[in-house]
Amino acid sequence: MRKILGVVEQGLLAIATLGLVAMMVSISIDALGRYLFNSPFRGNFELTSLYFMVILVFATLSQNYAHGVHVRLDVVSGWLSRRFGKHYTRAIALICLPVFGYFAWHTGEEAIDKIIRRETRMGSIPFPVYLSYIWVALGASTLTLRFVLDLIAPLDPNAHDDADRGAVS
Amino acid sequence: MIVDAALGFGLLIVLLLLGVPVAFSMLIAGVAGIWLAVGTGPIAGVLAHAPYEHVASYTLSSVPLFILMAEFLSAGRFTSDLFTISHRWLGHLQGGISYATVAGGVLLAAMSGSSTAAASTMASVAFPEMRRYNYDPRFSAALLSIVGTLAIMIPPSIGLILYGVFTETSVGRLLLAGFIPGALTAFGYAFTIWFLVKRNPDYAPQSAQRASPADRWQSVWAAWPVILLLVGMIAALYSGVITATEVGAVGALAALLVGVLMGRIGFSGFWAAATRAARSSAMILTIVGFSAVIGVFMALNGTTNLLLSLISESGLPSWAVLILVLILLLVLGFFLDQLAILILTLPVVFPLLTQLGYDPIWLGVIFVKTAEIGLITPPMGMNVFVVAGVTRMPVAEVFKGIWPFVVTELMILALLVLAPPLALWFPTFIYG
Repeated sequence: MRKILGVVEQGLLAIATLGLVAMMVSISIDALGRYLFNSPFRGNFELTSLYFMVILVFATLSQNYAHGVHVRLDVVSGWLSRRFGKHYTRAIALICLPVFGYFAWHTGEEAIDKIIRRETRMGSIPFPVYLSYIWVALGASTLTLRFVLDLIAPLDPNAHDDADRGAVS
Repeated sequence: MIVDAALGFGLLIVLLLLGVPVAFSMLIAGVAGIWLAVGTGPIAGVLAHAPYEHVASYTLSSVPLFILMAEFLSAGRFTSDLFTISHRWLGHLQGGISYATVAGGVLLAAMSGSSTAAASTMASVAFPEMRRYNYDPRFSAALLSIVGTLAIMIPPSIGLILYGVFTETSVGRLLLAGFIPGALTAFGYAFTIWFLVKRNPDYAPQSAQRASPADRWQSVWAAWPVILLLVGMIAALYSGVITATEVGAVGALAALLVGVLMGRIGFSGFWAAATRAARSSAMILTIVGFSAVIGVFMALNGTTNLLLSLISESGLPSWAVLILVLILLLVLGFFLDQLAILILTLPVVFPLLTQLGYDPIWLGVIFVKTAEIGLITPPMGMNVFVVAGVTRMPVAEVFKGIWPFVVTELMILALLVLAPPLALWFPTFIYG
C-alpha cells in the first residue's frame, strides 16, 4: 500500500508541477497577447483560478505531508518525535484522520453532486466547475489514505527517508 | 462566546505545539471552533466550499509564479552571477564580501519574493567565499540569514502580496510601498556590518583583491540577461501597466528561456526547479486555503467584533493600540510561521487599526516588516534554520550572531512607524 500510495502522490505532484508551468505559459500568453497584439487569451482568468491554482494546492497535499514540506512548529514536537518515534507519527495521524476523513467524504459528495449537475461557471467562456472540484476530493482522499497508513503502519520520524515513505523519486 | 473562542484558539495552540502542520492545525481548530460556536450544521458546507473558494484566486497566482521565477534563476545559476558582480565591485573593502552579500541580496530580492529561497541561495554562494577570506563563521552565517529577509520587503514580496489579498488592499501600491523600506533595511544592514567590523576586525580579517575595472565590467557583462530581466521587471512593476501576476508569469518564462538559450538549464534542471516551486508554493497556499475555515469560525463566534468594540471603548490612544499590536506580532514571531501570523491576526488587527485611522498600505509594510523580524529570531527563525542547513553551522551559533541585526531591524521598524511617508511617498508619487 505504501508503494502504491507513493506512486499516486508522485503522479499528483507531477500533475501539479505541469499545472504550474501551464499557468506561467497561459498568463504570459494572455499578458503578451493583450499588450503587444491587442489579443488577450480568453479564458485565462478561469483556467488559472479554477484549475491551475486548485490543482497546485490540492494535488500536492499528501505528497507535501509525506515529505515534511508543510511548515510545522518543532519546539516540542522535535523532542516528542525523538522520545516516542513511531507512536508520535501514529498520534499525529490519529489527530488529523477524523477531520480529514470528514473533509474527504464531504468534498467527495460535493464533487459527485457537481459532476451530476455538470456545474459550469459562466464567464467569457463557460468553464466546467466539476472538473476543477474533483482535485479537492482527490487531494483530500489521498491525504486521508496517508493518515490511515501512518496509523496502521507508522514509520519512525527520526529514521525514515524518502524511500521509506513510499516516494518514487 | 469568549469560552468558545478560548477553546478554539487553545486547541490551535496545542496542535501547533504537538507539531501538527500549521495548515492542518488551522483546519482542525476551525472545525472544532465552528462546532462549539454553532453546532455541526454548517461544518460540511464550510469544508466543501471555504478552502476551495479561497485558493481558486487569480490574484494569489502571483505567489507561485514569483517562486517559480526564483527557482528558474537559481537553476540557471544567475543568482551566483549577481553575487559575482557585488563581489568584484565591493569585495576589496574591509568586510567587503559582507557588503557584497547585502548588495547581492538586494538584487536577488528584487527578483525573488521568497525569503527562505533567497537565504538559501546567498548562503550557498557567499559562505564559501567568506570562509576563504577567514570571515568569522558565526558573523557570516548570521549575515546570510538576515540578508535573506530583504526578499520579504523589496518587491516582489510574497508577504505584501498575501497581505493585499487578505485585506483587499491594492497589491500594486503595496509592492511600491515596500521599495524605500527595503532600501532602508539594506542600508541598515550595511551600517551594522561597518559597526561590527570596526569594533571587531576579526569578523572580517582579510579582503579580496581589488578587481580591475575590466574585471568589474566583465562581471556585469556576463550577467546581462539577468540584469535586463531585473530592469524589465522593475519597469513593468513600477509602471503599473501590467499586474504583479503578469510580471511574475512573464518573468518566470523569461528566466526559463534565457537559462535554456544559454545552455544553463536542461530538462532535468527545469523539471527539478518547477517541482520545487510547486511544492513550496503549494505549502504556502495550503495555509491560505485552510485558514478560511478558522476565518469562518472567527466570524461566527463574533470574537473579532467583541475585541474591536472592547478596544475602541477602552479609551486607549490609537498609538498605544498600534504599539500593543506590534508587540503581539513580534512575540508571535518567536513561535509562529510569519504567514500563519498574518493570517491569524489580520482579521482582527486590520479592521481595528484601519478603524483607528491608520493607512492600510502603511500597515501592510509595518506588519510585513514585523513578520520579517520573526524570520531570524529563535526558536522559529526559518531563515536561520535554512542557512544553518546550507552552511552546516549549529543553529544555536547562528542565533547567537544574529542579535546585532535584530537590534537594527527594531530600529528600522521604529523609524517606519514614526515616519509613515517612508512607505507611502513612493506609491503616492507613482499612482497619485
